[in-house]
Amino acid sequence: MSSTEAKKMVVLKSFDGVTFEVEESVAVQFESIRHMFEDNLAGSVIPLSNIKSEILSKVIDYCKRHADDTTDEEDLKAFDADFVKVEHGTLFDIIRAANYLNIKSLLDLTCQTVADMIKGKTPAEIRELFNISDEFTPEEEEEASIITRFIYMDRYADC
Amino acid sequence: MSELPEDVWRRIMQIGVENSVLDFKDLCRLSLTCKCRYKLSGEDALWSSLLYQDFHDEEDGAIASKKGVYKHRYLKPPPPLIVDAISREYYFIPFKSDGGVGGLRSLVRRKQVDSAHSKSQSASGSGHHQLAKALTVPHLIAIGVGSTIGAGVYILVGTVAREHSGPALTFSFLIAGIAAALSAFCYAELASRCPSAGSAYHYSYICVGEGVAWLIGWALILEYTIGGSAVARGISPNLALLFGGPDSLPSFLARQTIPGLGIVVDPCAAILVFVVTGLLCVGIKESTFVQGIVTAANTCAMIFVIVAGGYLGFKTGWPGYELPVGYGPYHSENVSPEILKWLVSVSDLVLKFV
Repeated sequence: MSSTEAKKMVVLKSFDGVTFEVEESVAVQFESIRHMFEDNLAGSVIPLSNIKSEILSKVIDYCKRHADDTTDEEDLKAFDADFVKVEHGTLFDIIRAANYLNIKSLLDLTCQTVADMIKGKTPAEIRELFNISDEFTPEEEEEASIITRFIYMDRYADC
Repeated sequence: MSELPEDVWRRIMQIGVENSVLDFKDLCRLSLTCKCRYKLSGEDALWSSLLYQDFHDEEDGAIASKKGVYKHRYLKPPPPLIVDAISREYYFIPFKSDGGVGGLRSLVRRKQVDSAHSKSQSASGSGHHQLAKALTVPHLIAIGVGSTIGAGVYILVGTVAREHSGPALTFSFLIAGIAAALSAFCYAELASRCPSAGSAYHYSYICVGEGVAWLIGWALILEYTIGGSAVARGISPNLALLFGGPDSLPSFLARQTIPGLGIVVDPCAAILVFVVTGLLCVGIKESTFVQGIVTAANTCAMIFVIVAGGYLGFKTGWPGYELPVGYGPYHSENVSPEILKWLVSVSDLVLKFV
């Protein structure tokens, strides 16, 4: 990669083979792969075998925006709010990517979004939302709900 | 779509709790979705934060499950907010009111046993004014015996024996005694669990709730008012007999009927009530002293009746026991419910003073 000394580039390769070139100042936010390009391996391609290209581009987008010191606070908030307005599937993919790459601010943002989504939902709705198969056996569910019912008294009311 | 990893879920819950997005209800709902969430949502870190947010409980380092602690705190009212020494009996239990449920909650809210809190209060040095302990076991026995053998024992025994039970009166007393003992055991247990004055009102406040306690409190006041006035009215016929006959009371003491209204007023009863009230106001020690004297006199009279009656009975061969129906009650279903009720109220009265 022929670029200036100041702007060292890192090449990331997504699961479906698309490569992305990002500045190192952006890529340092990827905590978990940081050592790879910091160990003087600049120029080589870093494979991210479990992130789809569309997700990776979003994540890089986010990191670029947050690496930019010139953006003011308000704009950044608006961007974040806009950023999480995606389909649930995409959001979960972003969470997984953020978790894998260990990008703390993005993980916090998306987790917060999920927490907002969970708020006030019934167990059945949550299961549907996250596509959780009901792992409880009836006995286990009974036990769980006995322990839990003390506070969640309206369980049967709004299920 | 595959599952989100476990630590992502942990992070979601932690962030939700920290930013007050998720409350205990949300965690509980989450815990019902699947085993993994059930395990994660029960973690101590989450519930510690909730404990701090909702009850301002600091980390106490206890090994108990924080979810369990939360449950405990949620179900049990928090320690009382003590306003001052006088109002120490009343404090506020901050309930989260869920709309209309809030009003009902206050009916069933319960008081804490306050011996613990007065202990902690005196330990913390704020030391509210506590009444000195004046009554000892002999005093309590005097009060108990004095309340048991009032005027009733002389009249009731005869009436019940003649009208209802016949010679089986002793069985009636035995049954009534057992029933009264059961009631007394209940009171004894309650009194030792909630060691503070207040009688049935206080016990029901602690055990059942404020609504029931309110009813019982007023029922007690009604009971003692009516009971006290009934006894007070009984004085004038007896006093008249002392003066020589049913109508020989001095006119200012005799019962008068208010013209037009048809209400009978009894000056003797009023005077008696005022005397007793004054005595009670002087102090519990003085009242108990007077009660002790009266009780001693009463006991002597009763022993006299028993001894003299026994002497006469043996002399004449117990003629009343030779009944055509045998040694049984006239009507077996009439085994003196009056006595039973009377003894129960006595045990109540005694324990009121404990």
